[in-house]
Amino acid sequence: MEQLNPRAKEEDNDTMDIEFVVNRVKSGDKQAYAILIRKFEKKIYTYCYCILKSREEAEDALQEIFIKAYQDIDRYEERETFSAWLYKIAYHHCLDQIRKQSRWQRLVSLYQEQQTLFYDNYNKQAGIEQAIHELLMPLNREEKNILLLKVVEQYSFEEIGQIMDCKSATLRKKYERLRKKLHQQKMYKGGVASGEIAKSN
Amino acid sequence: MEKLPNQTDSQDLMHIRHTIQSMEMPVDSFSNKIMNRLEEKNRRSSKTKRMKKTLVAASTAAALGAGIIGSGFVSPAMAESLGNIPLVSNVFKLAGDLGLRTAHEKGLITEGNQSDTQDGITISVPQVMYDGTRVSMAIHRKAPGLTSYLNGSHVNTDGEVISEPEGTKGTIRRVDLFMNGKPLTHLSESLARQINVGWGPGVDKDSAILRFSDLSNQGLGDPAFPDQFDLTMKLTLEGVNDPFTINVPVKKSINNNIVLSSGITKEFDHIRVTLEKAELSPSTTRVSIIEDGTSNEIPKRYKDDKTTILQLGYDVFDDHGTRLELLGGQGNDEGSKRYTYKDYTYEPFKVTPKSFTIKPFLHVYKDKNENHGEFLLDSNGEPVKEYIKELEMAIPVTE
Repeated sequence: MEQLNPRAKEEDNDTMDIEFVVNRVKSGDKQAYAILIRKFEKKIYTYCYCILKSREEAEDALQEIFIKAYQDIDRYEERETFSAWLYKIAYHHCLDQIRKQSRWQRLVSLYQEQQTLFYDNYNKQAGIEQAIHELLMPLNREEKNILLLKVVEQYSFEEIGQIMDCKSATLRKKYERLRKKLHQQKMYKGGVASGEIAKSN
Repeated sequence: MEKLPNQTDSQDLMHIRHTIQSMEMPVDSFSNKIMNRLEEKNRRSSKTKRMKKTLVAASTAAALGAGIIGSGFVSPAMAESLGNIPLVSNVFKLAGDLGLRTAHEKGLITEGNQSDTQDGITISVPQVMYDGTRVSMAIHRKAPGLTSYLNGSHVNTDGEVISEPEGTKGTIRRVDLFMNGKPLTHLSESLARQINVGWGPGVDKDSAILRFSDLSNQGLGDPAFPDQFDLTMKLTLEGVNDPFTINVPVKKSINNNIVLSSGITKEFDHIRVTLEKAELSPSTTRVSIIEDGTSNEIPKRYKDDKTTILQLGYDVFDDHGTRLELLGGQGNDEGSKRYTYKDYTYEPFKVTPKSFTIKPFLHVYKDKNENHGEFLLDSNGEPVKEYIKELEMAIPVTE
């Protein structure tokens, strides 16, 4: 039986037939699952990081999500893309984690975010994490999800509705509100930034 | 010409997309790790529930500032006056907080030479200090050719904090601790009972200082660390596959700490704060507070709705009005009464005072109507604090 090479480089993401690989896994080719992991792990990691706000938690979550997906793979029935199905697992897992986080930890996460912002006054090196922090800070959890799924992963509202268990019409409205919020945030920041520059001169 | 709002927006969205997508994973792939875990499980095995940490080491800006004292820059004159003593054995003396420098002078430090080598890099633990309130460990890295700062950041000569980019090889990624074989950190089964390890700069790019405390002041019945124990540390560096495993014997260096359990309580604005315990050692001041934030009538500036956790911080002043630097803290609200246990470590008093004062405060934010966001800074660039006088506690020191 032909063995799929888990280290095969995906030159062109679009031509990799995910559904084919999934069927291999379903039929018992465990090693084929490694291909799926490599294909989706960075996206899932980034998603978890944005929601859970911690690299360590994102690492843990990522592994749990892929393990759960493997264990439940028989339940995947191609009603949606595998990637959307995987995101659904990720969405619910992160939701669970946030609920389990004690209020103390949520407070400290917020506090640590503030610390990061505080130090950014002194730290000229921007860093991706800092940029993401600032970007996501004004958004609540639901808004973060919509932003990540719509803008980063570019799912349709229907697909997002399946992932988040929400009507696509509702999501559309929330998305519009979210865009306004980000726009206003940007205007405010622009004002603040120039004020600070003026002060330092 | 002014950009149309729609145009700007979709450019912004592209920018957002690009920013988020440029986040890197800490390793090339988790595939092997996940596949290994699947090997261990059978298809029909139970799900591993990863319980969340409820304790987080909360270091304030002041704490980071404290860790930076004396680090990152050793003048030639200083180096000369130390003679030819290798810097490795002087991490605490040169880079430690006031307490560690004091401990060094008083000979309260255990020297060691345990080490481990992976990938051509050697990690050793040359110094350990344990005074009953905290364990501090000096870590040294020997890595020819690596220029990264072990602890992940450094202070330049302008006093600015410069962080290493995430994932820089040779920086500390994770610390796992085991006491007499039992894991202390990263516990998946226990909600609250895990130690949080913090780390800060050492004397140069190849050294760092680790710090942690026990959970005895968290209101959950955890015991204090014993006077003597064996610690195994697994230190994971970015860019190095296998962790460094080092055995560290830890011994309490002194036995004359002043322990005060005054139970002094103050009430104001429907809040109650109690000093549960204070412990004064020559190297550390440890202050443990119990907050009762359960009342519904507490004003909004202290806390958000639906939480009992207050946003109060605590400063400690000696009997001359000098403020102690905060080193770190941890907290917990998992107890049955929903009180919050806050456990802080500060630098020691230079001289045992006759009394000291604990001053609870709220941070002031740039947007004065909010209780979160950017701190308001004073003319020195320090966050502005609003001290709550009615909650101040004056603690007499009785030996």
